[in-house]
Amino acid sequence: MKFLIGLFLIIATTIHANEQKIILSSTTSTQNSGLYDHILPIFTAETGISVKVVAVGTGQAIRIAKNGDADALLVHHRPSEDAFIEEDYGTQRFDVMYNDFVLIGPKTDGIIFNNLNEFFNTAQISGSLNFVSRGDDSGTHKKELELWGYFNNMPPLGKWYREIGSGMGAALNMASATNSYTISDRGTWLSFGNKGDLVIKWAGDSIMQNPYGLILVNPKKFPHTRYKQARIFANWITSPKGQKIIGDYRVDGKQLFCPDSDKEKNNRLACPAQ
Amino acid sequence: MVCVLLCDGTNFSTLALRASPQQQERHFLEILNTTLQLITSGDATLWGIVALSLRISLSATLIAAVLAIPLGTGLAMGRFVGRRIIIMLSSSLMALPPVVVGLAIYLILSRAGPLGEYGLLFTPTAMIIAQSVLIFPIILALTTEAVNPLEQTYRPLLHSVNASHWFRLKTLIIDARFAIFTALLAGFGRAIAEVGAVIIVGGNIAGLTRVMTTTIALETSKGNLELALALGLILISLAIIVNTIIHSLKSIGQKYQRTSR
Amino acid sequence: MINLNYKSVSFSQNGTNLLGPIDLEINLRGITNVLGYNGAGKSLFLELCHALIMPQSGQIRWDGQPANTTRDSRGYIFQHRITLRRSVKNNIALPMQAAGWTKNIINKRLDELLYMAKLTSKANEPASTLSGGEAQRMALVRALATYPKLVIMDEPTSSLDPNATTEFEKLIKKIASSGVKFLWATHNVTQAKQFADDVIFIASGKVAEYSPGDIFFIAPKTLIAQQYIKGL
Repeated sequence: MKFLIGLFLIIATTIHANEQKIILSSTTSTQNSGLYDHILPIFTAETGISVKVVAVGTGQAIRIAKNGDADALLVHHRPSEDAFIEEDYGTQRFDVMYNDFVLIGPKTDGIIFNNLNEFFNTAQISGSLNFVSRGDDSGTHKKELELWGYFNNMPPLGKWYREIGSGMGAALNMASATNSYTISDRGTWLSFGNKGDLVIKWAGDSIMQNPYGLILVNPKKFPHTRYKQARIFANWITSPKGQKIIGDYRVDGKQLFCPDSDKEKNNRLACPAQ
Repeated sequence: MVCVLLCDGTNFSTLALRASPQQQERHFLEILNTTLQLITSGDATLWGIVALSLRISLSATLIAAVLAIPLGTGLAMGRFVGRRIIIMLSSSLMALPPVVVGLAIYLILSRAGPLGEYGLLFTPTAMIIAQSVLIFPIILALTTEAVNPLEQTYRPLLHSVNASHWFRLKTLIIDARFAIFTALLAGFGRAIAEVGAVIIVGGNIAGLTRVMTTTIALETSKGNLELALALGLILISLAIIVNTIIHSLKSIGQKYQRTSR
Repeated sequence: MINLNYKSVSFSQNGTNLLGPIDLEINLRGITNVLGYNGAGKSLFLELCHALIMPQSGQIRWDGQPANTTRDSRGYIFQHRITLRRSVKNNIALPMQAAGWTKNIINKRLDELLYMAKLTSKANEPASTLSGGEAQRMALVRALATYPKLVIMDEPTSSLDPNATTEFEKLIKKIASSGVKFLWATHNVTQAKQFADDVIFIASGKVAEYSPGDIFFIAPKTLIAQQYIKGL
């Protein structure tokens, strides 16, 4: 019976020529920054391998890779990435790039603070501002909770704190509409088209750094994965050429991502370029 | 606070919430302008997306129809044990959220799932499968509803000429064809407008599994609301065209469909 | 002659016995009218004869064969018009299509039947546009399409005006003269007097009387039949 269903499905499928491709499971924030649209065609032109990006929330991206539905995983949450390797789903992790998270808020609300510590403490007490949280267990959300825990010692509570359980775009849309604060990755923020009255209120602290890792899905666990092609992609994106393309990517004249694979060299670079 | 076009109270209302009447008008004009630009630019990506949307939803409608029309007619004809339950189940399934259907198909087609070996996930085929499953209950229920009254009328006559089950099925489907066609179009409408199922099983991959609705979702999440609404306008126009076709076909078919005096 | 046999036949619905028990052995010749008051069970009787409904007990046989296996040797006309949402031509073709005849043969037969019913000019019109009389004539030739030996009719003229009734009766005469038998329920005593070779009289769900027509209308045996022909 299963054979018949399979036969039907195969016949029903459009017949693709023997295409060289890999499926890359990644996050919506990376996708929305436009980086993939910029860098992947260059890779394909050079190697003939097309990269199909499935961009979802971090949790879903990892789950897809764990199911063996992707050949490689590119996310930005180190603990999850380490667990992925530990549990044998991936063979190797590559440092690819990093950017940072920024604190977004309304330009003209007259709220002043000298550091993040002040911000997170004032927010909880005064209730004079609104905060939008993604609340979806994504890398950004986890970073946001990390910040609350670090500066505030208490999880945020109150009507001013709205958990929407949605992606970065939805969070920014709501922040824009309600003049609220939120934590965003710089990439999504720069390419976001509905900023309204919002601006970057704080950035630059090292705790706001956001590193991205690329992991190859373990072919021993999933024999059908396109391991060879995925390796080629990993090598390319961490090569000096690939890294330069990442570093050169600009949105509105601003650099979004900092190359990360050559730690020695990269630490000496000023990044992101101002 | 006037809400513009495709408002659903969440993202789109942000467009108008803080806008003055003049700003609202500007927004509206911007959207119209964007729409016209999109349509006349002949942008290959856009038309690729439109073509893919049509291909997937039309295929799904066809597949669902081939299964649901005979079954729906059979349900109207038969009086077998469990018939009521099937009818009730299929009516309830109509209320399935597309995202739930998408999830179920994802789990089945995933490498980790029962049909994983065929590598169908993140392909247009997976999207066609998901939409077929989604709209099957709709076409089934509406077909049964369309055929029921006809079946009541025809039953004694068909019985008296000793018609076989197969002949009765054929006769009912042919004579109820316009109502059944409307059922098909209802199914198609549901398919072309949904986003939950195709985005999960398709992955919204640029140039491969990105359709109108998932593009609208994507552009919204990027804050490009005017673009999203412009795409929405194109989608609505598509729906209007399809519906116009229904109605003109329906009136052509009126000739034989009047109930007897 | 066609033999009709009812052996201990009973029909009930929702626990109420509506017809029977009936034991009957008759040989139909020419036109047999089925008469009785409204609600006596004429329609049920005809439906049982054609196996459109099945009895709770007993057996109905035509020339020794069970009724439900011999439907194709009989035609049936309902009291109220039932037409397919198709042309007149395609309505008449129905029994032949159901029997799997080829298109060529069907078309030839259609010409004959349309002519018989004087509906040739309306062949391609929607059947729903026919007048009452035309529709019943269509039903009659439709019932004749596959050369049945017998046509069963359930009060076919009760909703027709006098003109239409006359046209219909003319057609019956013509068909009967070619040897096709009729089993014909009617509430029109005058009509029955004119046509009945034999009469089956049904009262309270039983066959109260079966006699040749001329005898029935002059001297029926049962009281209830006597009252009936007097119009009481």
